[in-house]
Amino acid sequence: MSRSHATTDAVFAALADPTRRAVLALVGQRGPLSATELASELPVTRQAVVKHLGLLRDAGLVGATKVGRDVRYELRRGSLDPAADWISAVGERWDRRLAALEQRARQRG
Amino acid sequence: MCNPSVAGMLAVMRVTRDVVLTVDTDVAWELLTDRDELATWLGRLDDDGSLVEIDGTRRHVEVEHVDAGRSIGFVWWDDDGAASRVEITVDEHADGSRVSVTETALARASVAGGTRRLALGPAWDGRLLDLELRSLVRDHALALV
Repeated sequence: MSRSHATTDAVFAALADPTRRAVLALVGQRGPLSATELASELPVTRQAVVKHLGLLRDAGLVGATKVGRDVRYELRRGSLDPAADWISAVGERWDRRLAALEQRARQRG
Repeated sequence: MCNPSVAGMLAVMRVTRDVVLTVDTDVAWELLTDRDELATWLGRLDDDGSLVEIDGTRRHVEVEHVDAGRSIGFVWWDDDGAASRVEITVDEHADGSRVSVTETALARASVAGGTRRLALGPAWDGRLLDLELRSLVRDHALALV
């Protein structure tokens, strides 16, 4: 498995969970935020938030910085590039396939 | 205000496309499910359940559900394991028919430990597909209980 596939896979795995998507959206919107602050915005415990943040960190989507006694999390710049690349590549493929399908339909019609 | 690029990316982990075809829905369905027709726009189906696209990319395909004449859903993945779920639907349209496609990325784990699926194999052919559909519906009905 190539490195880029591994990265893309880790990103998609991290984003597969709706709570993690919510965490990431909050961090992207208002970060840097602590786990406590995130938990106050979400219907999950701080412990659960910490667990989700760990997966998001492993996927390279968020970075953590210790500020005093807090660890604050923020969206890592460019971390969603694999997702953007996937969307672009898949869209282009379907554009090509459906153009060919349209051409075949014209032949049949 | 949420960063729109982040919000958009999180909301759109999928790609959607549609095309209007100048054929009726029956012919459109045939274009989507007949082995020979598939080869004209998508790729060649091998008996081992894989699809070799026109550009040479090989994808393994497993059909998840079929609503004959209306929609088909499948999971496919390439040799690197990058997997996604594809839903294709056919609707009537004033000019003939509309084919809509949605492809959603899947995490590797969700494929490896995936739900019960039906191997496509040679069954994309419409006649066999109908037969396999019966068992698929039965199996999925049981799985969903």
